[in-house]
Amino acid sequence: MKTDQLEEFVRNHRREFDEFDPTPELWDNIEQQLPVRKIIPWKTYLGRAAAILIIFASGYVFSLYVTGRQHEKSTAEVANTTMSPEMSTFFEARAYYSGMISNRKDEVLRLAGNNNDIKKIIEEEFALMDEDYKQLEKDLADQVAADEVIEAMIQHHRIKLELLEDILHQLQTSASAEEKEVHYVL
Amino acid sequence: MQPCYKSAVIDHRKPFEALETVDLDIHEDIIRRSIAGDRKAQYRLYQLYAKAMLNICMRMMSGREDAEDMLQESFAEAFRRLHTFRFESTFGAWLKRIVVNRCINELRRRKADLRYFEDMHLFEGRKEEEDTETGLSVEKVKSAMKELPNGSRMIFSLYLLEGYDHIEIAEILNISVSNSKSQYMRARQRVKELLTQMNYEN
Repeated sequence: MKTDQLEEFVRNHRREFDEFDPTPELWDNIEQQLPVRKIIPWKTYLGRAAAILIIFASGYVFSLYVTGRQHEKSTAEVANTTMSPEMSTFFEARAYYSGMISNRKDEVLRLAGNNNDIKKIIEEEFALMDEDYKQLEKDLADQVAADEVIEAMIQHHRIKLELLEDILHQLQTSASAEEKEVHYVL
Repeated sequence: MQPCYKSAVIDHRKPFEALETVDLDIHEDIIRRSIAGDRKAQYRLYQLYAKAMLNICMRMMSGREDAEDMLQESFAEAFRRLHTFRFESTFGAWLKRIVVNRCINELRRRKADLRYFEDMHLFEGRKEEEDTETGLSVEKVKSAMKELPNGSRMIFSLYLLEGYDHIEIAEILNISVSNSKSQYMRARQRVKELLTQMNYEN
């Protein structure tokens, strides 16, 4: 087919069709919509992770017991591949948080008793979070900005734990309130 | 910035796409730093693509204010979703699709009426306007494009300026592929008629 001259002309002068220039204010507006990035220097982060591990040493030992099988798996992972210190710290933190999470979850479920709503909320919230976590695992495999990804993964565990502790706190408060009420009536 | 041509073979049917492919290698580092949240890299990425994307918005929306709104929303969305960019397509193509979809969705939300050529039966019997070698100018083509019904103009722009093929345009505008093709042919014919008319008037 013969090349169309109009088409050829337009393609040869393509850049000239972009006549408008963006104003500087446009970026300011975009920037306002971007998430604020928390910059935690890696060393500080390592220090914090170490502090957490020391403070909760007893809890950690307990978590090893609770998540024996999980931990075996993660140590196997550590042993099988040549891990960076960041990665092994991450695996330790993950084992610690997994232990804490399953511990708190058991406690919440015990206190919730027949309250299926709470169970449902936890299952749904965790399912959503796990979707994001899968993405993070993929990102980690890409080996791009690994420290940020690891930070986000640890954050994922922290949020889960905080969520459970909040629920636990509420359950405990309402349980003690009920007790008081019963006492008052008596 | 002088693009370094990695490949000597550049597809002349889509010169803009070819440039974007070249850009990919240069910008990979900026993209990766932007994913990590580096604000300077994000700004650099914005600077590289803002003008091209603003002009796409200008062609799709009716006024500057709407176009700027779409540009801002598109970039904010692109930065939010940047971690999902897998370097499988060029960054320019990925971003452009976000921009085009944003504009189309906004037009749909406003229930904006996209008008197309309806006199296709007249067009079918007509001989295509002879090419006018002389007197072609960007300004004339632009003013001829302004005379097209808005839907047909969008097809004309998406195909010729944004480099989409008719299958992609059909998907973007939710019309049939054959409809996109015939509307494009009709729009091209109409632009040529208007150009001839302008030359005659001058």
